Amino acid sequence: MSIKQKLIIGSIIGISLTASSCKKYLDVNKDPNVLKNPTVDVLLPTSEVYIANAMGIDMEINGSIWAQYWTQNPNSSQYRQLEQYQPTADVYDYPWTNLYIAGEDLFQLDKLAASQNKKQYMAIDILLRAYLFQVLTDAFGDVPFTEALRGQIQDGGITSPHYDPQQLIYKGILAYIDRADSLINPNDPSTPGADDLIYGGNMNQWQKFANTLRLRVLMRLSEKDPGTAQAGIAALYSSGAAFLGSGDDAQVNFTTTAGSRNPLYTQEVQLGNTQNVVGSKTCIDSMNSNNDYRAYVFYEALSNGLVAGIAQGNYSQPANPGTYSIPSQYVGADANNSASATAPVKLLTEYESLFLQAEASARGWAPAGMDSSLFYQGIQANIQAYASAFAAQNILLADTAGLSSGNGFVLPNGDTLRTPVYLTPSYAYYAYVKGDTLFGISPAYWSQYPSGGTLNDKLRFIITQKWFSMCGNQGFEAWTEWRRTGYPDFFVISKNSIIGNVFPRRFIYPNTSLTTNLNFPGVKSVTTKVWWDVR
Amino acid sequence: MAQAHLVKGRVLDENGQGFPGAGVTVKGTQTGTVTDIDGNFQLNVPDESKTLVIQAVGYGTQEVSATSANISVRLSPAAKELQGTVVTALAVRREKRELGYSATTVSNQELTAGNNVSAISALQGKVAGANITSSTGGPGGSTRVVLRGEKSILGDNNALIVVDGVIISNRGRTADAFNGNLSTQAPLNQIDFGNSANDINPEDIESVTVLEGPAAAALYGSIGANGAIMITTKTGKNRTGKKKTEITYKATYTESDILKYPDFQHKYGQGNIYDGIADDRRENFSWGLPFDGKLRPWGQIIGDSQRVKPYSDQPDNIKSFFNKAQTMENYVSLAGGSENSSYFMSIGTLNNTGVIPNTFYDKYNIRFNGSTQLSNKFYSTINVNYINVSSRVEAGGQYAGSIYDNVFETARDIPIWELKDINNVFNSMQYTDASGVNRYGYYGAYTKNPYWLVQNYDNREKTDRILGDVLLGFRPNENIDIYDRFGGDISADRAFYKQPLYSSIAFDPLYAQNPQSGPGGYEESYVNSLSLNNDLIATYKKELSDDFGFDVLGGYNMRLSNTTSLLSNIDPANNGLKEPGFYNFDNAQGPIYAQNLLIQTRSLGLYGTADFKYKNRLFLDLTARNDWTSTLLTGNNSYFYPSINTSWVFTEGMKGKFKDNILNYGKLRAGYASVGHGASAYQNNPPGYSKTQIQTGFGATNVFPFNSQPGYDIQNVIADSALRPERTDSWEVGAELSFFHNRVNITATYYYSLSYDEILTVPAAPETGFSFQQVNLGDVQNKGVELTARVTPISTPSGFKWELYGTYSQNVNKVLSLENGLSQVTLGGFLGMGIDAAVGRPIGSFYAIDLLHDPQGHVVVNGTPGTQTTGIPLATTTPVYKGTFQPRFIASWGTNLSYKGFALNLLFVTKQGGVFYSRNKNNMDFNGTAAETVNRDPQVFPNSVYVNSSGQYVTNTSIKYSPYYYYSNTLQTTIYSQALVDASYIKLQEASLYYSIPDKVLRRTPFGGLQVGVFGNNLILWTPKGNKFDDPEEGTSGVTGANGNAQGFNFTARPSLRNYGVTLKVSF
Repeated sequence: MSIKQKLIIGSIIGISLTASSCKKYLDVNKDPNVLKNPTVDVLLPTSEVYIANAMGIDMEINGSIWAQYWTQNPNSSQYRQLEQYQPTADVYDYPWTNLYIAGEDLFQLDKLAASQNKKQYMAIDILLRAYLFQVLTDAFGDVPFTEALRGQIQDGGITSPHYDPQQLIYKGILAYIDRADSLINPNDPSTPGADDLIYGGNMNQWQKFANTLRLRVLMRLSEKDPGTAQAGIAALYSSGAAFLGSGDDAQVNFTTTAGSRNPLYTQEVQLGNTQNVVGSKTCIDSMNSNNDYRAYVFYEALSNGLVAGIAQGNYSQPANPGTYSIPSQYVGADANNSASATAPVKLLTEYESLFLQAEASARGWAPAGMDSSLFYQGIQANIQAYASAFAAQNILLADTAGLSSGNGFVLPNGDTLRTPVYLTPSYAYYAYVKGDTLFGISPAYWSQYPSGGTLNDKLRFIITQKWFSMCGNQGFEAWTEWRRTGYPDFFVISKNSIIGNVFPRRFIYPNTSLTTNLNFPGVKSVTTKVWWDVR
Repeated sequence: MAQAHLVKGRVLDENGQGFPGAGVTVKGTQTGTVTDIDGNFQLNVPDESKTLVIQAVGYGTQEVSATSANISVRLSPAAKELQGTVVTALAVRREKRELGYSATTVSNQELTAGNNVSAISALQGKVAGANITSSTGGPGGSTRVVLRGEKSILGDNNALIVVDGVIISNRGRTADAFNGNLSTQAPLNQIDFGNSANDINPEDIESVTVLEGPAAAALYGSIGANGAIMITTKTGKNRTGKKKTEITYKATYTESDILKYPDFQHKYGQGNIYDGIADDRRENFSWGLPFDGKLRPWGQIIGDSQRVKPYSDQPDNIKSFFNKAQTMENYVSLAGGSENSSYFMSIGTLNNTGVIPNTFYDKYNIRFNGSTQLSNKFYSTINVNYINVSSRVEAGGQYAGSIYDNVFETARDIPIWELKDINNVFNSMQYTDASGVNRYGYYGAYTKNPYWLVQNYDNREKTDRILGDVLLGFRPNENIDIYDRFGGDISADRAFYKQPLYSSIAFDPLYAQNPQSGPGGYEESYVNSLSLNNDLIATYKKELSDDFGFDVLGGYNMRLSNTTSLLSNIDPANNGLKEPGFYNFDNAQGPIYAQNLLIQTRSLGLYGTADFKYKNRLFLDLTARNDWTSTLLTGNNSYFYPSINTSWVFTEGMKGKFKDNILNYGKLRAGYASVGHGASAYQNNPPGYSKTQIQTGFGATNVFPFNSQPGYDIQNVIADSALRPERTDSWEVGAELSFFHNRVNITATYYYSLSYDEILTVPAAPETGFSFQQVNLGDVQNKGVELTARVTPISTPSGFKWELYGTYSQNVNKVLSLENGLSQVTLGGFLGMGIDAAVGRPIGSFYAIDLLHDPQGHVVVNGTPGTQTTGIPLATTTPVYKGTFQPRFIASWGTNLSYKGFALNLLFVTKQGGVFYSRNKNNMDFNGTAAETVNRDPQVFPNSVYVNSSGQYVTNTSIKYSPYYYYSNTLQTTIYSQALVDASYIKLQEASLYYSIPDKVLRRTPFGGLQVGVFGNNLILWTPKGNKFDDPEEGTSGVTGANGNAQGFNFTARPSLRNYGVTLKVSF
């Protein structure tokens, strides 16, 4: 065979060999860089931290600014749009997206858990979805619910989910909680462990979470649909439901470890440690005039020992740093204090639970007569939740004259002390509720529950106290309750409102949905109320 | 044995200089030689042969009588471009007259006249139909080249780069440190290490042929739909006469400085008289008092001392920060050969120091090209190029270490040069005082000392790369040629990024609330890529008669590409360094981030062509190819694409005065092609799960493992497993004409292309649970004209020659449709300033929040009674169309003058139309340093109206706005459109003057040639009144991939450079 023949034959063999193995040669398109089959215990913590990010960053900042705890620092500019009451649609892209991503991970987790009969994962999963959908609908009104999260072909391939009416979503959320109730079983061996970052798989606590969430969801309907609210709450009580109590706060904890830090603080660091939010006069002045020591916990004292705020939205008025207080590390908002890294993000708390119960009792939807006691327990629970923060304040209670003269210092209970005494949580509560003649502290106005007053008087106190307690830690919920009840009744219009003398009543739909969802229902004004908001 | 006689001769170029490297063959045989350095040749010619054929790259083929023993041939300049051979797809050399499509060849001489360090940038103005964007114009920058318009909405639109027949990778090395896995962030934090097409040394290039249209490049598939740049590198020449190795040495020294500085105001200095402290010493605002020239303290009070300077404008404070860049290039090449083999070797070095202190770019190229005739029937060639690049560049955008942010924001009265000594306590960013406290003494509370930044933020890249091919061929007779070409491109890119850990408080109590700190970060990223390409090709050609002949070609192609990458970082966004100054992964505060990827794609192809020719005047060329790709599912992964081209040289066969004196050459051509393309690797895979990293507005906040708890998150793309291949159909018609003894040459082309079934990853509604979705929809149309003219008004026998040439290209790009119902896809930009592909608009349209206008076009300002009547313009509620980055047309005009040994070249280039986003404008408006901020008194917004209480528009004559508020607030937070600037420009792209020592003089020296010259490129820029800011060519989006489609986005990019220098070239 000549070289020529060999070459030709060689080429033909070469081609035919490759042709036969062509399919194998081309079979390299399975992505080796991603996990194909996850387990339930890696999806649950993902969803919880996504929710904590949405609640801890965007919902907290926007909530706390519109709830008038915080205001834009005149020496920075990040949130001016919120003070102008004219946020652009892109402001809401991240909370919206991250809540729906959490929802998608939960949706996939639910399918996986169902296939493995892991009922407790399913229960937690659906409770978290109930929680996040309430946040979404409270913030934005009508949102995609029934058709949401089904983007993948095998889940329905719905790429433009319809927006559901809020009324329907509320029904759906209640149905979700019903389903969770039917799944929760503390004796089920398939409970999560440390992968449940909220309760460590404690299903008794999740049951209380379910009950408290149901109470919150029903109470939100108090003005729009009191019949449903009353019936539901009465049924809840008659079932003997237990609510979140001491040690039951649903929260995600953070540490100083990089990547596991409080998300609000992390974002402040990412913005170059810029202190964008500072204390609002609305909250700080009312705390100060009520001798409320919580001002020292939720805000940082100035060098003169006082806590002072800036008029809401007054960012265009120059103010010297050092003349206004900033929110504290305990709510994760001090951009230059690394201790902010460890502030938890609170989703549902004991004090919220107690104030909700107080309201239910005051309305007569729960056993009557408990409202006053629950009101005070709420205040106490809030102070107790920040007990270590009080202790860390080193606020000297003693009159220095008395100590230095050697005459000592007489405590309200009559004991005489000769060493300096610092603020304790119990003293803070005592002075707030009872006052202290020794220091000329009168009992706070907002601590005198009007047991004999009208329902409106009572609600005014319960909701205003709830508002104090949620200062910078459940800002979105506080603003939402203000929308429902109108309390506190001393909010002021932002100095930089560009929509005139009205308050914002909702978040506007995010840009990403506007540009991508063919069933986008149209732009809603920030002043348009959501369905349950009829005040 | 036939009788032969020796023929000696000399081939001269149009200037009468000896032409080296021209091919001289005996017609009808394979006997031939190549001219030496002086253009001389000698050849044994069989007695029965009557004709010699002279061929030279870029010139025509000329036939001369072989009867006389001493021949002198002058190559005809007119034949240049119009005739001769060109390199077509698969590196097949074809007669230009046969082509049914446009192909432009640029010779080494034209390519290197301006000494542009980038072979791709050097094509600017020389090729009609090419839109070339050189973002920095200097060593190491990125160059984007798009032929006949953007076809892919989210894919790469760069022309295919082919070196000696092998497709090479054109990887964008533009990076976004610490967000490498989030490419969407990259344009905002850009670190531009250039793109790998610029690795090729222009000196090694013999010629570049640009195949503008898909018809030309159909055999490469859809990557060929973008057209192809066919680079042919130099080779040694077989020689039969005296054996001499040609040695060439070239030295080039270049200086560079910034081509265009923004216009500054010169009236107001540091401070804020509007809502701050009038003479605030901490400020980066120049919203202070008017200059009074009086001495004033500035900066911090440290101990008891403070610096003093006059309160007056420092016109050169920005300019003085930047160095003059210096580039030294050395190039040595050896070319030689014997009867049966030849070789070419070269070493090129490029050493550059940049305009930013501490930056550099070094490149080393080594090439070996060899060929040998193994026996009578076998032959082989080898081309190997080793490239080593090492560079350090500054970051652009809003990166923590962005030099430009900190330099351009400097108040007008700050003498930057006094900040240079970073150890001086007044300039310090980290100064440990006597009590061990870290402090800074730098004057700015909101900026950092740029001299400190250039020391401490360090971004480096290193590349080792080998590319080349081996070819083994078998040519049993003159009809059959079978060869296999195996080529590869193997590269290792490593990047290293350092961000300092520091935390300082100020000395001065005024600065008490202004600590300066950074968490520190470190990143290493390695990308190893391997792409292999094998073509087995067989050709058969036959002259059936004197009139009719054909060539057929069949081929088989295998391609594979493997990329492995490893990226690790200590991310300052959510992690940080523990100890300052130690850049090691042990030194992290929390778990380090790591990402390793393997990306593989493969394809197989079968193709064939058939070319028919009739009487050397009618040509028909058919091609067909079928590809199988790994990236689509079986059933969708096989696709076929054909092309047909035809050309008619209508002057062939014509006789008479008209042909001799007026129309010497005329050709009409037409071509059609349809091409297909697969998806990217894994694009059709259903979403998997990856480690959870929670993205919020300013980076990842929480990263799993979260407190050592692992977490996975579903990927954010809804996949479509049924993806089909993308298609582009196109056709073109053209004419090539030559008049008046070939003094006037014109080519013209009209083309149309439709790209459809585009594979798009478009944003999905987040409520689906996903952020993106794959679709197989989207139609894009391009149509346009290309004109090239070359005129020689004067060419005298004494050697004086004046040549003019010009190109004009106009492309109309339009998105015809997108996903059902979707009207816009975002390519880049940011919210409120999107660079989009929108239906009915060109790819790359700006949609920005704009000034609100009434129906008559007046600006509506805030003046309604009862509201805050600020007189400030109101904003549109949604982004509106504000123009595109696509130029309306691109044109060039060049001239060459030569006389004796002198050669003068000038080349002007213009792009007209289009806009670009200038963050420098935006920042300088904010800071009050821009010239346009100089008129600061409250004033009525020009041509404005307001809405009265009954809702009517009323002409505004009295409600004044505050320019301070408008520039520092309105333009920053709402009305983004005002940072869009007219992108039109005219540039003196190249200018050079060379002198070659005459042969007569050289004969008494050891030199075979000696040339000295001065040159410049990117030399002078003229911009319209509206652009007082940047060179419109600058960009931050990189050049390749989807990000590269967001052109016209200057988010504080590396500045464009003016380069000029001297060069010396000698040959032995």
